[in-house]
Amino acid sequence: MEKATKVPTERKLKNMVQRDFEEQRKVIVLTGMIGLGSLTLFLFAFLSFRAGDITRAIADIVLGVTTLAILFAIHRGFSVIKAGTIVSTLFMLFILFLSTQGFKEGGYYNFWWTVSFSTVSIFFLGYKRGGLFTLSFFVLLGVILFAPGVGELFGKHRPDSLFVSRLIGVNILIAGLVAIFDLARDRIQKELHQTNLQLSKTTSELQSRKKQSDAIFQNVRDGLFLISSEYKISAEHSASLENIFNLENISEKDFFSLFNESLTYKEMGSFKDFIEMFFVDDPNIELLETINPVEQVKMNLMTKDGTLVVKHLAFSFSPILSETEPMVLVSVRDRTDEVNLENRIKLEEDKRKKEMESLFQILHLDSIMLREFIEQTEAELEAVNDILKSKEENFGVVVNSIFQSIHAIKGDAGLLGLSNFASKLHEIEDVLVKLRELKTSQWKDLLGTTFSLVEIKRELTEISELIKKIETFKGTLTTSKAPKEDVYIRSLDRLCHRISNQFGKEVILNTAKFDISKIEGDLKKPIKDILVQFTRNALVHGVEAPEERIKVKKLKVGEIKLSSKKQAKS
Amino acid sequence: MNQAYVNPFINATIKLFEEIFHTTPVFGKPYLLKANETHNWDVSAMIGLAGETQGAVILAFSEENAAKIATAMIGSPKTALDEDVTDVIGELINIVAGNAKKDLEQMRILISLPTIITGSNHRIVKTDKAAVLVGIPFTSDKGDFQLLISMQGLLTDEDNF
Repeated sequence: MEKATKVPTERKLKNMVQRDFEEQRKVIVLTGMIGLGSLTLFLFAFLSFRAGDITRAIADIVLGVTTLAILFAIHRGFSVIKAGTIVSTLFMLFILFLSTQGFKEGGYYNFWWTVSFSTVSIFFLGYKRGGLFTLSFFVLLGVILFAPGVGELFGKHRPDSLFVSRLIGVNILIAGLVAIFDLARDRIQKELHQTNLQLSKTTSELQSRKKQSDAIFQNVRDGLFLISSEYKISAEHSASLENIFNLENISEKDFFSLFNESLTYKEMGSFKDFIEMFFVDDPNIELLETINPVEQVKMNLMTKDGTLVVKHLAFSFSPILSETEPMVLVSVRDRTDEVNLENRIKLEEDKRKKEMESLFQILHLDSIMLREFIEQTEAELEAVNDILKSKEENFGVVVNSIFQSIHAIKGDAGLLGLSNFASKLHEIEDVLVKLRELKTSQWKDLLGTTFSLVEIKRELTEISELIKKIETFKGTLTTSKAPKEDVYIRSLDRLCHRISNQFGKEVILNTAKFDISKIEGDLKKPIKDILVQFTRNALVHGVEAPEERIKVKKLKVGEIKLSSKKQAKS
Repeated sequence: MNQAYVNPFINATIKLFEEIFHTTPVFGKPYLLKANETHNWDVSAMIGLAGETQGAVILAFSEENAAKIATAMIGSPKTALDEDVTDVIGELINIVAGNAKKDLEQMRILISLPTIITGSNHRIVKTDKAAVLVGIPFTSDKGDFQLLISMQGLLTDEDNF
């Protein structure tokens, strides 16, 4: 059936839908009835021919052919209502015609066809139209039966009143029943239609709601799922859950299996106890929130290609109270990025703190002293680099040489009070010592040390830049008016101070008779180192603690005299 | 500087030599270069680094050694730096970059496409303020070369001091 292309109204739609059902039903009935009916008609026609009643035979044939033609037309798309109307009309005429035959021949059997008309017309046209047709048929029949003089037109054999009353009775009964039946059918069909409409409305509502909840579930960042009392993960869960755990099919998996690589045996035991507490009749939710062991947990998760990845996950649990099936709602958040960021920030803060400390240490120092320190350190680093660039193949020799240079720098740094710098150098020393002891050391193992030296160099550069900045800030450039020699003595002075503080002794260094200028450039450093050693030893072993000194009637403050004497030229 | 960032390149280089030339290059003593030192490099292949660390990794060859390696690779003997030789160097650095890339991605380091630089006795002057490069000399019977590294970036708690 071709429908109109413009959008039909709700009512038209309803009618179209209704007609579809009904039309199909009617087409089936029509086909059956017309098929059977026309067959019967042809049979009668044949019999009539045999009996010599030509008119009768022709009428039968005409009707039979017409109805078949109409059936054909219906199957080609002819409107069922129109066809039904035509057929009913023809049928009515035919039956009335048959009834008149009853008058002619006296065969009352001709009247029995009348009973079938109500069924045919009401089935085809519904109780409204069919009812109308039936009513008109009854009227016409009544005219034929009762109108004075009409019956005689057709023949002498008038049916008796008993028969007529029975005929009327049966007709009314059947017509009534069929009408009621069709009425009921119509009502039921209307109700069904309403129910269908309701259903499709509810379905589309549910669908749009489901779309919304699907959208939420597919896109929510956290992993959401339920666990049953058997601790299995629900089939309905947010899509991100599988991404968080790198597992493809997580439904119905055991919840605790997710933690296999992340918790110790003991931790797993107490975790299971914790979860169990959610499944009791009346869980204490506030308490359980405070003792959540996986509020933030470092998880080791396997990826698909077998490697281990570390994630920081935050779990929270809510019990879902239900009489039939207690469950727990679990929410997982991937906080790996945040945790890593927090750790980084902390590291940066520690770094800054250390840098500030170094800065303070440097601020105390004289810039000339610092410059000398930097020069000496650079020289030592050159020495280290030289041995690395050299062709020396003996591992021990190389490592020892590096160690000595590092040690020297460390000493100088210590003298100046640059403790952060010194401790970094100490760490390098430790690595070198370890390497020296291992028999299987190769050059590759020195790579870390070389990198450390890069850091040392960088720090030196930073220190010298810092000095420049401090100098401009101070506005005064300490000129070389201060004799360089002073620096030497001053660093010894500082050493004295520090060690005396360290050992609780009170000492001053007397360098009045110490003439540095006589010492030549190259020898300065080694001599200084020696003097440092001497001074230290003197302080530690030669000078007693203040209380002791007082006891033996010495001055509280001890004195170390450093003097130089010119010997004969050699 | 973190050794973890450099190991992928070292391993990739050694692996390359083992797979293509069937020889294991010998790791020499790593040292520091001042950026304006002169060396005998005639061709360098450089990979830039960005991300958690910034800097570059460079494979540097003298003309002689580059030709030696190219000879081993191509088959026909090469003695001077011509297009074939630089192509070979380019290919080698691509392989090294490719092999190192996987390990580096896990550490959130991006690498650039390699750059080939030629010039007799050229220097690598400035890569950062302190201008310090770590150089690792490698020797092999198919040719010697240097692996140079310049990096600065975040320290992690896996510092190798």
